[in-house]
Amino acid sequence: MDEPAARSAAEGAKAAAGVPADYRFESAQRRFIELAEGSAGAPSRVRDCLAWVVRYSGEMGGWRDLAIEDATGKVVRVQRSK
Amino acid sequence: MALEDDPRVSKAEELLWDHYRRAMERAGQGEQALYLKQHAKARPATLKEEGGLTTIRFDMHLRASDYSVKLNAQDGGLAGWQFPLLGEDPGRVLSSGDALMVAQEAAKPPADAVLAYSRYEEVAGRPVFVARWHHAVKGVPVERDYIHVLVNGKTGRVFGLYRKWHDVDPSFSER
Repeated sequence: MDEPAARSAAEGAKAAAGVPADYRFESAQRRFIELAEGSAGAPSRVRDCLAWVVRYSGEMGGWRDLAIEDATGKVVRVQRSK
Repeated sequence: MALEDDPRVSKAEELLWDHYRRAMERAGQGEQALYLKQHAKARPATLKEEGGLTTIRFDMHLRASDYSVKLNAQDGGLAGWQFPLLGEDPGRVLSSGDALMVAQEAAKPPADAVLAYSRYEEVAGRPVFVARWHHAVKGVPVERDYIHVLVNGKTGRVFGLYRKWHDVDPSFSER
């Protein structure tokens, strides 16, 4: 998957992922991320996943990161500013 | 039998601390006596039996600094340490290049480590040389992996090293 494909996948998934409508694309970086097997907060096994981390940000400094798995194009993680 | 395992030594150490505690209480420092063992350590040095008496000699050590160690709960591997005493009285005597060599010797960065930055920084108003490596596999960054080293630029000694590093593995495992 190249960057345009990752951005396109993120665009298609951002509403369902809770990205506010006024957030704009900021960056996309390909990296290895760790994904847990179980639910967040509980100890679980993890695996490495090659993903595109696409960031959207708002005017007030908030952001959302959508991690798009390189192999499948699926959203595998959503992170947000605190 | 090692000195530390001799029951007479532990009994003698109890008496030793009791002696210090009473002395501090007499001097009006009873509250501080509660923390005595956090600031001093008694290490048995010799045990001598003579004339029906047993004499145990202790070397007394005063705490000079905290020393913290971070261990991986999964495998017990060393994840980091810091010894602030070695960071005291810092300076910028070493050039950045020489300080980086000191940091590099301690960090032993793997082949896929990428130097993110190395520079003098002000920490609480004092200069500290900081070197940090990130992990990249064939140029692709590995999130949250790093090696972070703190060097005293005056003495040329490393006083802190933190490391989070793993081999990239696409299958599930416990880490």
